[in-house]
Amino acid sequence: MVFNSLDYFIFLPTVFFVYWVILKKHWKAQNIFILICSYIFYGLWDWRFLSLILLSTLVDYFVGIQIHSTQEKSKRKGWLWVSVLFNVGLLGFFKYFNFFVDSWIDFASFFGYTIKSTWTLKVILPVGISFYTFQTMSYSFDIYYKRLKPTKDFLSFATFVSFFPQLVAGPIERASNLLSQILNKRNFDYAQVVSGLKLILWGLFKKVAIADAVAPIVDDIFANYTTYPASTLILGVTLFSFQVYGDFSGYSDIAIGTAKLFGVELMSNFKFPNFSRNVAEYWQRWHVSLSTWFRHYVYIPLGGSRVSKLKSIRNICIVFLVSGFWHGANWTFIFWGAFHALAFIPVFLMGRNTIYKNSVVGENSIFPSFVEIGQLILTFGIVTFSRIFFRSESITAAFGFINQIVSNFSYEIYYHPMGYRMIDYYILLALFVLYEYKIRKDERAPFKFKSGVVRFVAYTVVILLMMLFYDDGVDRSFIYFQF
Amino acid sequence: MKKLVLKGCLYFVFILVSLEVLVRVLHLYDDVPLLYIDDFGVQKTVPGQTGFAVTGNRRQNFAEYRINKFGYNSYREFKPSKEKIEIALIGDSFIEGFNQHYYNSTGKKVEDRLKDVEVYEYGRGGYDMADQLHLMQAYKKDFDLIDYVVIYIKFENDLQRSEYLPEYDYIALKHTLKFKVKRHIKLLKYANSIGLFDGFRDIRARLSTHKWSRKGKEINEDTRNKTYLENFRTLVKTFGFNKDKIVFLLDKRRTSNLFLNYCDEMGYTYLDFGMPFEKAKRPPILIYDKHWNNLGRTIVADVIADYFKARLNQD
Repeated sequence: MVFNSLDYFIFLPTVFFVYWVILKKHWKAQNIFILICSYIFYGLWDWRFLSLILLSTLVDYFVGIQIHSTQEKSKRKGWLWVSVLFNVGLLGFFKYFNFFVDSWIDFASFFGYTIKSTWTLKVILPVGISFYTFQTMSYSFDIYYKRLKPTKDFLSFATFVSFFPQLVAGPIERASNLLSQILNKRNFDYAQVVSGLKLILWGLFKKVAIADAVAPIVDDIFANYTTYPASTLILGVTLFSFQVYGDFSGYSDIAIGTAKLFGVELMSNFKFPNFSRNVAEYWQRWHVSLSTWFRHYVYIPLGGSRVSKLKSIRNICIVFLVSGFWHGANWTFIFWGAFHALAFIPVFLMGRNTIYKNSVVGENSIFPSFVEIGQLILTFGIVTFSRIFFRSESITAAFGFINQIVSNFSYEIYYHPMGYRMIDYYILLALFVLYEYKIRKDERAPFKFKSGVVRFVAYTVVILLMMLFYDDGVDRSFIYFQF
Repeated sequence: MKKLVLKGCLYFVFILVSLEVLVRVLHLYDDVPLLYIDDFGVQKTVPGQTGFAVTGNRRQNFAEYRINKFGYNSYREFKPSKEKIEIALIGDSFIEGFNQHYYNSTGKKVEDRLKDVEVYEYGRGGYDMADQLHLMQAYKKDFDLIDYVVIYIKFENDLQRSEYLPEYDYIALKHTLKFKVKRHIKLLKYANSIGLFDGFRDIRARLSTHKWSRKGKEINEDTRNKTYLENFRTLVKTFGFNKDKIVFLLDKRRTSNLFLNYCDEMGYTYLDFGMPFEKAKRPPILIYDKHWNNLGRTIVADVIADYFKARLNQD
């Protein structure tokens, strides 16, 4: 079931009604109900993969208890390894097995050895596996680092692992935030529910009117890049930047908004990354739950920046390469990660990696300064360029795309593959950027207007825009489901 | 909770009303004209209606139509006489041409190419061969005065029946309360046209699909084509066919060889616009609804005009 389907619009109010009206006074029953609903939500994709979620839940539940029950460091570490090996093993088998086999065959053939590909398996990638395995691992890590005590309430823990709003594409929650809320009674809060509904509306807008609307254009340009001039290819990858942002941040907003309906606050996942002044700031604003995961459980344990410069650079490279690999079993993602590492290192060496941590562009003014505009354009350009690797089918295609930009550096008007007016999309994106700039200080309040009338007009305009750009022929699933 | 439900309902209603207003002001909806069946049993559009045909979410195609006194979309009134040369163009939605301004139709383009010729467009969405031949028979007096007739035929669609039966039930359906509501709530109409309700249809389809449901009997193409040709013969036999007066307009690429060979053998004339479409440098059809665009209509008009120029010795 996807958030932007009619099924979900029937499912969500039904769950909401039962949760707050029938089970209002029994928070444990609410947990069990949410758990059942989460399994239904996931099972409608493929019920067979529910067993993986259940296994991951069981392993980390027991690992958590075992780590906590002993003070012996080697035993604690041993149990932590059980969790890591099991979850990474699941990921490795379902997501990376074929990639490793194929890469080995390619490697051997490079040296003149021919190996028949009899080892590759027809494995379907279970939706959300990268997200829930990381979430359960974080639970074991937090207990290991003594940041958290394990819960003995298995059903609540299972609810934490499979909480349907964020099960398939995050935000990747920490138990300290989500589990603690699940283990306590939630109270119906009108303001929280309304704020959740607003986020759902804004998320839907980003998905339907931005991501899905430009998707056919991006698909066309990337599929036929050899026939287009540089201007069109730059347009394609720029639109892809908006597509992937609209798609994933839209999903996150709907997830966070849905959780709010049930009295649960999830962590923010996107903080207007398009308004980043350098690559370091971009990573503080893009897919926050994943970048902080890597920071807490990979970068800092490796020594972070408290080691020599050289080792810090090594740590940065490891984090970005692993992060790239996390996205998919393809060399394109590893290149993408490596590119970001290369873009990040100079910022780190200049000591500018945390200077924008607590501020936004145009912090004390309505408009950004000229310097800031330059920084935004540069950062957006770097990030957008990296997306050529992110979007291309293969490394060869990615370099072919770049080569085509360089070798056919010319301008030509681009026509929409369906014959629609392109100006409509340019106006929409310009309005979208301007509006996001206006609300840039609070990613959780997209409709923050004092006047009720203005707020009402904003809702209406957003819904109208969704209808104007709705495309019923587009594949409505979210891009990050494939990760 | 009460506050949420109350305010939620209030917002829901107000937003719907606002959207209804916006959809009307921006004219995002399609004006579908009313249909009726006249005294001769011919299904056509209620005369005197005007409106705009809209395609796409953002009015990607927006064209005015005008239903004349005879009940067809045309800038002309049909007044055939012995003194003038008239050509009737009969066909389905392609001839009806709601996707174009009524003053920029295929018929008008033919008129522009020929001297002193009036073209009457008898186009109605869904017309098949039975409708077309029945129309000619029903208005025999008029068609006797009309000099030439061009019938637009799509072989795979237009020969599925061998007799004409007016669809009174279908017309009656259009006058039910459900359709009246749909007709008057423009937001509903717009949402339906852009596919927002497809999800409901999918759910309904999923619920009504049973594994024990009978599979439709598959008919092979040869058998189907033979049936269509047989239907054609029956219709010609029933309504008559003046080979000197009537020519077919068709796309050879999409017409069965069986039918083309039959036409050649029996002396039926046809004009093919498939080849000129193939040679066109730009797409001759509207990408979003597959009807002819301005270029497509010009090409079709040229095919018809070239034929009649030769026939009327106007060169």
